[in-house]
Amino acid sequence: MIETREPGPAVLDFFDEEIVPLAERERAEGKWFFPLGFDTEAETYFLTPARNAMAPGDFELRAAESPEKFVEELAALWTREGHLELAAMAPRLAELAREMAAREQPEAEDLSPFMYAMF
Amino acid sequence: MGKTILGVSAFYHDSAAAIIRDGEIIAAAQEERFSRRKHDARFPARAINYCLEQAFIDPAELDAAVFYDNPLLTFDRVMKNFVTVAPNGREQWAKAAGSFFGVKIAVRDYLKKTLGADTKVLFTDHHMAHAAAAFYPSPFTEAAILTVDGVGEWATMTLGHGRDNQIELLKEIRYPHSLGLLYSAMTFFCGFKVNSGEYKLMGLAPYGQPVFADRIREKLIDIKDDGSFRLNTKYFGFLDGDQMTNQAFDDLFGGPPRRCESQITRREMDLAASIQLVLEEVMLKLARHAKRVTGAPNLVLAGGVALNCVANGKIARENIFEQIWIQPAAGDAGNALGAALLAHHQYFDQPRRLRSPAQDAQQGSYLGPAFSSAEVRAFLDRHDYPYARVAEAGERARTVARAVADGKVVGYMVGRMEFGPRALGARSILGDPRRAETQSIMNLKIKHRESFRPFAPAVMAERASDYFALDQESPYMLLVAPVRDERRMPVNGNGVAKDENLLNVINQARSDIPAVTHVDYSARVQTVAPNDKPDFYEVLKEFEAITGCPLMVNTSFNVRGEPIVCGPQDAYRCFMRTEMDLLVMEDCVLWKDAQPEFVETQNWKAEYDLD
Repeated sequence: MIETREPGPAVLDFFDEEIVPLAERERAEGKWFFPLGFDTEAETYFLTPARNAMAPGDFELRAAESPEKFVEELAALWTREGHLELAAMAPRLAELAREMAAREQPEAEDLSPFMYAMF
Repeated sequence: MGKTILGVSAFYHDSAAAIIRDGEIIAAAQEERFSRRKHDARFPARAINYCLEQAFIDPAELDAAVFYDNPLLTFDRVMKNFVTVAPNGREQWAKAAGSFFGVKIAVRDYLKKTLGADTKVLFTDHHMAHAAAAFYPSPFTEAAILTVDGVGEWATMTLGHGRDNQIELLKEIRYPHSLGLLYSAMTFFCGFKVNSGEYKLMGLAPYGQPVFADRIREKLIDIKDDGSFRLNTKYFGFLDGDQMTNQAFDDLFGGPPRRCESQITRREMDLAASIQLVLEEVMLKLARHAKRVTGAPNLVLAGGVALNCVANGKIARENIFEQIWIQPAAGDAGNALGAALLAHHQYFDQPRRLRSPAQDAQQGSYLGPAFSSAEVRAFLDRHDYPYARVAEAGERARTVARAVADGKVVGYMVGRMEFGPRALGARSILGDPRRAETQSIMNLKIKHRESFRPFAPAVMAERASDYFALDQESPYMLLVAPVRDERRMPVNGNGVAKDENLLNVINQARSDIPAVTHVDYSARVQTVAPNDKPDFYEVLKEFEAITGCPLMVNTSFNVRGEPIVCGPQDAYRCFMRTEMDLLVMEDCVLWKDAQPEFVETQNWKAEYDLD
């Protein structure tokens, strides 16, 4: 059972007005956030973890303090990574977060038998 | 005074809580056992309350509460996934956004509300928590670490090195390239439930031939010599759809997915065999590479893929490492424990205090609630359910052993509940492994259906090697081993279901312990040493005294589709809903014949989903 809040139209508007256009621009420029298939030339697919151990500061997640802080930290992450177009979505994401936080809690959904729970 | 730390996993599947004090595990339990909702993913308030009670602690005294996942990095993955697949995935985005902005970023609020205290709230990386759950409770001062699952924030697999109280992750593979998601995709395609049916796919594999293995390697997953891998995402639906596979996958394997509960065909058997072979190949390569990279003498494993005990058994038999240890709650429930342990050692920088060299710190994984004789009797007396109190432990063990030897099916609820998916003699149903009909009878009596899978044995540890080719202990039922040659019997067709009637195959006796011998002569073994769980060991010992056989069928105490029972109410209800003959709850012994009619107020068969 995963608790969710019913998404309002703003969530879908965000998808249509922000995510889709960005997706189209990225694809047109041949950019991907992650590889989607094989690389037969590569000797290994292993990557180096962004951090290979957790220092005490890593356990203290400022993003968890509030929805606004969450989006602020997201934007900072994307800016550090150079994904400025993602970072530019932050204000609208913050609006979404505020709107969702203000809604009533709906009934919980069942775990899907068709899809791994990962989103 | 040592640090007392609460660990929590929640919001995806198998929510759980765990509490440790000064590095020692005090309690751990999955929420589903209390809520009675299988794989309950909600915030584990009940499990948390249990942990606090068991620790005799007021929430204000906690040094920290630790969540097992970094929601910021997970949302980063979610966002980038949907930007990659858009305009597809619109509906899934809506669900994901609702979930994130609804609950997943409110972990701190949930904890504060549940605890009612201003506890320090910490967060770990998902695979760091898996690594901690694998390494810290193990008996090793040094080990290579492999964590393999569906996905955490981004990592789907990590390779690391644990030494003393330090864990270092050296390599990883990232979403969407995931061995766990690949196996779950095939689970779905073969008509089993994702998140829970993977072990059924593993159990189906011995019926088939790996005729699709080359196609899987060519089209679905590219595996390098070091064990690293990538998927070809064009064949998978999990990036943008509501099911794991898509039309391209269907076309690759000659048709749509098998519908749940429909006839299993040769295709599914062969797919199961094929994906199992590929998974084992990857896991073996990863294990060898981990040895090369770390030079460590031992290996520890966690992540949902570490529940694939067939692969684990093969890694053990390859002798790449001196010993391997697998976290019994290898999936996300175990991350509640891992998160707490990681905070203890890495945030609070506490040393690791190992027990004797041969002993892990998991305490048999008996970490859940126990119910006293007084509590059990209070329940039974309140309802006037007839029972006999058998206070003497030896007499109780003999009663159980005699019943099983007579072909009876016994429900056994004694001691602290297990943490993890396996029943280990605390919440178990026991049966006679020597009878060819036990497998079908127990399935029909308890699960109300027949099954293509054998049951698993619990065996006296010192006698295990008389029956199984297993040269290490297996107290958590996480290793599959071959039944010894001298105990095997030839069967028709050598296990292959030519006419797709799996029941004809499984019901053929293929050893002198037919109920626990799979069609390929393998068994998923639990070894029970005298100190592991003395009462259960005593039962096995009495059974051996009566029959000469030192092992029993040990299956989980639940009806099909419900979580394993927790307390006396659950146990009695399950007892009465099935055709079990005898129920033991602590020192109370109940015979089915003596029980009054059990009046049900709910349609439980509709309430519990089919497996």
